[in-house]
Amino acid sequence: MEIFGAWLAVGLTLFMFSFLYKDNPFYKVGENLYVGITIGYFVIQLWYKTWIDKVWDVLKGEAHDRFLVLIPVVIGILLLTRFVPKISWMSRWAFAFVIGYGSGLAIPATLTTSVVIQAQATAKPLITMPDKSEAAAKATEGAKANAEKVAAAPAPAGETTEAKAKREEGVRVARYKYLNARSQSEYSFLTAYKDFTTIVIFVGVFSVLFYFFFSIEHKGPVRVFSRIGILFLMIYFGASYGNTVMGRLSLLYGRILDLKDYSRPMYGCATPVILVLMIAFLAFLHVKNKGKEEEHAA
Amino acid sequence: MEPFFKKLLAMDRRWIFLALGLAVIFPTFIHLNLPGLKPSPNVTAVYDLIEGMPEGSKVLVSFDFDPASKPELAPQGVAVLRHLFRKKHKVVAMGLWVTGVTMAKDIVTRSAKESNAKYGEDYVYLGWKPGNFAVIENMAGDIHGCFPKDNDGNETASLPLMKGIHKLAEFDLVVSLAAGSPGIDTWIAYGSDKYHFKMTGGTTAVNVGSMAQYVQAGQMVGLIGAMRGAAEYELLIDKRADAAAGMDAISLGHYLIVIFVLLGNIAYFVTRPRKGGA
Repeated sequence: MEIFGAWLAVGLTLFMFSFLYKDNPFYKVGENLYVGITIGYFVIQLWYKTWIDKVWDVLKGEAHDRFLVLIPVVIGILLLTRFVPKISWMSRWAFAFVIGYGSGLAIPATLTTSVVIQAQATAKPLITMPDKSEAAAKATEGAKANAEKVAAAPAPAGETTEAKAKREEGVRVARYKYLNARSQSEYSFLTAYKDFTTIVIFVGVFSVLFYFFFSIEHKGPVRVFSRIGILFLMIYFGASYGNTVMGRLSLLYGRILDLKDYSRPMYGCATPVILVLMIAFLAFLHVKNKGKEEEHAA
Repeated sequence: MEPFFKKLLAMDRRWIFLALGLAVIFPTFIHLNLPGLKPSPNVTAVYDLIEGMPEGSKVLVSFDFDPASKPELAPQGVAVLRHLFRKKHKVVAMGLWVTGVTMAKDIVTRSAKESNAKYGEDYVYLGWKPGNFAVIENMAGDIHGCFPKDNDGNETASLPLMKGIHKLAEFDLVVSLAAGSPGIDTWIAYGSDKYHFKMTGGTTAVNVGSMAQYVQAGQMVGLIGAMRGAAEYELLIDKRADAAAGMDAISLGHYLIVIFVLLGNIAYFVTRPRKGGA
């Protein structure tokens, strides 16, 4: 069974990768299987996790209010009346319920999370006032003592390169924690850096908002400020693209690791065998199509 | 130089695919151990949070991704679970993405087995329920009602670990490893912001930018970003695994892309028609 799984995984991965060469029958098979299997999997999960767990088992039970579960079931079934034109109007009741319930939950939650709290976080004081309390001073002293202790710890005999890197990382982390604690209790370089970050966020938010202000003409100071907004947007797009590249490369690496793993004899050398067969078939297809094209041209 | 750059611009893009493929394949055979991997403040914050919790804390881990994001998020899941089990925390796992149910179960079971964690006492896998945010709302009121059975069909109420957990707010921490929505943003909007529990998580590289705002606003503690974040976490728990090994491949791929971008730009400037030229 494991070997069958390996061949299936390798086959479908290579089928999808074959699109990089050009559109071909292998890719079409992979694409259609993906859509079909996803829907099939969803239906099976839905059947067991919703119908059996949440409806059938409840109705079979002995709870006095078990029949209440039929109300959402009926509302759900009403959605299916869309398929019968004569009674399709009944589906509107179900949609009204879904939209009403969904909006009622989503609007306040989204407003709070994405607007109110985000606005609060943006409207921070631009300059930090140091916390002069005894607790803050104590926390700084503790972090300082810890950083000194970690830095002074002798390297064990025969320390490996990896262990040394880990120990040095520990020293760096302890030092960072001390600097962070100090930045709360007194105005330090790190505090200035944090304030600088706050100012960057402030300028970024407002300049981008200005850029999307279309009710006033962009000239003079408004133009300058909106141009700064464009710069922020460009940096965001660049960072987004960089992250996207990193993400895609990670996915490629993940598949390649699996392909490498499944090329071992215990899996019947699935990767090299399927790869060779696919290349041979694509080459055959190429020669065949070339022949046809030449016939057409003649 | 101009004819060379003209040829370069007209080059079949499949050569670029091939070069990129080779750059990613090469380090899987020869480990380069490129330097530069250091835990970032966001990943360290997640580590510190879990490290600082008292033994036996109840943690909900939601696997909100499917196999398409497995290479980025599965190493995060494995690293976080290893840390949680090592600290003897109690783990309840679940997922909001239907196509990730079996994969998440595999990750949880393997990590638990490695740490000798016992099902029902040290960890539970609830599986998936449809409804996205409605699941979170439902769990906030009654977890047993939302998940009457675990993924294997056991009565949730009969599992020793679940006997002490009835509402979402009873968890000491919720971790969402998400490839999109429903995911971290859903857990924050319908969960932590509303019912006030501690929240952290990890996401794919594409989503790091949009999720970082929640860290900045204090709506979640730290964020593990992509495979790189997973590699940093592996470094922190002192257990280098798939993600750390993958950093060489990612770095080589990045170098190659930077070279291509530079070459493309140079070629564009060298070959563009000059003002007043023919």
